[in-house]
Amino acid sequence: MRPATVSAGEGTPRTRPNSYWTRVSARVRADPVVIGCLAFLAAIALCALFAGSVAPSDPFQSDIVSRLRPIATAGFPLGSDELGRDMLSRLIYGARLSLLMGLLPVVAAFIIGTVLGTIAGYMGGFVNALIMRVVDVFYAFPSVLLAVAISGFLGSGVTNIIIAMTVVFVPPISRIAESVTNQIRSREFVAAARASGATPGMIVHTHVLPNVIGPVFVYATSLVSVSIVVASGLSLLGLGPKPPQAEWGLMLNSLRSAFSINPLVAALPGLFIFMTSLSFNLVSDSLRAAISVKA
Amino acid sequence: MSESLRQDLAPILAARALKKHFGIRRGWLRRATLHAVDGVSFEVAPGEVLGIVGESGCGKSTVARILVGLVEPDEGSLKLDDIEIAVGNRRGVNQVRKQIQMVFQDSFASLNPRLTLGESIAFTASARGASRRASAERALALLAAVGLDPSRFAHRYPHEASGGQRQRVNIARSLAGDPRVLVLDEAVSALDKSIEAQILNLLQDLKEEMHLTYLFISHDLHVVRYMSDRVAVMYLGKVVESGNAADVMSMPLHPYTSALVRATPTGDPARRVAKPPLEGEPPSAIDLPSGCRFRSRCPRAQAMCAEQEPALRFEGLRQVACHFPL
Repeated sequence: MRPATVSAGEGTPRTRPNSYWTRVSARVRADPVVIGCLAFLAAIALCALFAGSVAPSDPFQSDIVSRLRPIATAGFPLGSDELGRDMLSRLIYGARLSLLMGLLPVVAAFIIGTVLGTIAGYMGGFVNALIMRVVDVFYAFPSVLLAVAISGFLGSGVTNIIIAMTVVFVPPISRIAESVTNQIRSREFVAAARASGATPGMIVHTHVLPNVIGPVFVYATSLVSVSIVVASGLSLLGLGPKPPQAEWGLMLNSLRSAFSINPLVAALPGLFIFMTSLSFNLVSDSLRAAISVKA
Repeated sequence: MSESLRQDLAPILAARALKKHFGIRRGWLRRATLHAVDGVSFEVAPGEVLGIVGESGCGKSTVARILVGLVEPDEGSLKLDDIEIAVGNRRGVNQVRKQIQMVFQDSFASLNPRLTLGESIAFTASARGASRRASAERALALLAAVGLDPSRFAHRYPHEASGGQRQRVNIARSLAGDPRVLVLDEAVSALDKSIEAQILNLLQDLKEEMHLTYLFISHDLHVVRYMSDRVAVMYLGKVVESGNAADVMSMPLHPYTSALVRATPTGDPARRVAKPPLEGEPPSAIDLPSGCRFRSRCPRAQAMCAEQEPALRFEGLRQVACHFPL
């Protein structure tokens, strides 16, 4: 632990409370690899947000003459795709949909899964059996297969992919939330709260949720990378956004045929999927390590 | 206070024939019953300290948990003043909860690591419907009452306080519920001897200041004797002897109490016991011996003890459950 987070000496009034998350973030920030990953993710996120001003040219402007230009051609810093569109601009615009499809399902599943898992874990008995067995049914299918099945059923489109992947991620998150809640519920401070006459709502709000959210959040961050890969996979299969929309998975699909002509350009969307997903994974790992250190 | 004076006062808390059996699994499809508490009755007068002693596994903690409503008894009733609470009476139990609070043994496990010490205390006050502001003020006042400087401790987290400080916070938290009866379940057992003495003195002071009644549960006879007016000795879910603390400790009537007293270490090497007064472990609370529960370890056991379970009966002002009391 860094010296800054060691508690102040006896008699020294504390200026800032040495809270749990303060200490966790200090431990995370101590890791240079994580700082690099966070910087990369921040850059991608900023590009996606301000794509209009960052992108050098129109991502939809095709030019039949300058198709499949190699990297570092004048006017095409990262080359051009099979329709002569600027790859850099398309990658920047593509980050919008790719990040949205990677993050939104996990955020939605995090909220739904935590609520379901905490209710199941705290109530126990019949409610637990009802919620967890339904969750198990979804959990029994491989995640990609389930995502394909649901988005196939709902039809293609960005919204449907997000819904399908939310359904895929709710079961694992609610299972984690349920098991953590179970552990917390048997802790003595919950017994103490019950003995004090607090209502179940107060106990869950003050004593259970704050202790459950941390581990579940860390688990959810590890799903973001999976989510990005699965989302790209679904759009590669043509279940996601439709051309000419820019999205990394879709770009990878449409550049497939150009792989033998200009492999470096064709691999670019894949590289971005890989880098983003890896960064999320490394950040998540570091978070996991930081919260598992006992106070 | 003398025994005769106590009897003039109506009991503040009375337990009648409390029973709690736990169904447990022993392997596949085999079920058994664990007799954790098997008909325990006692009365506590206002301002009195009733000590409950016994080996681990004798049901002390289950009794404590029944009193604060963490465990629902199978049979029996509780009476607080004139309010009788029968089994399964949820509303009644909640009424009692408001008057009985508990201090747990493990000072660290019983505090939420995510809450500051002040917040933990304030939570109990707000559980009683106090406003945010009133709860916070109450927490600061109680920290001071248990001997901790509020400006230094209110914002600390449990891991930033010592065991003794945390146990003071636990006491403050239980007081935030404005209890009349405090159940102290091994509340000082995990502490160093010097800290233990400080906490015991604090408890004595708080009892006088706040007119509290204590149920003091411990396996340590010295501590129980120091704290208690009366004691109840439990063995395998039953009270085997009860009475004035000094009398029970100095002249035990039940062979088990006598063994407990003799097994307690003394400061005097000359009085060291060569051989443990009791052999073996207590029998399992799942397969109880027939007749008297203590007979399998009792030096005075006779044929009658295997056939008939001795009832708790009066012997003067004390009560004992033995066919052949000392």
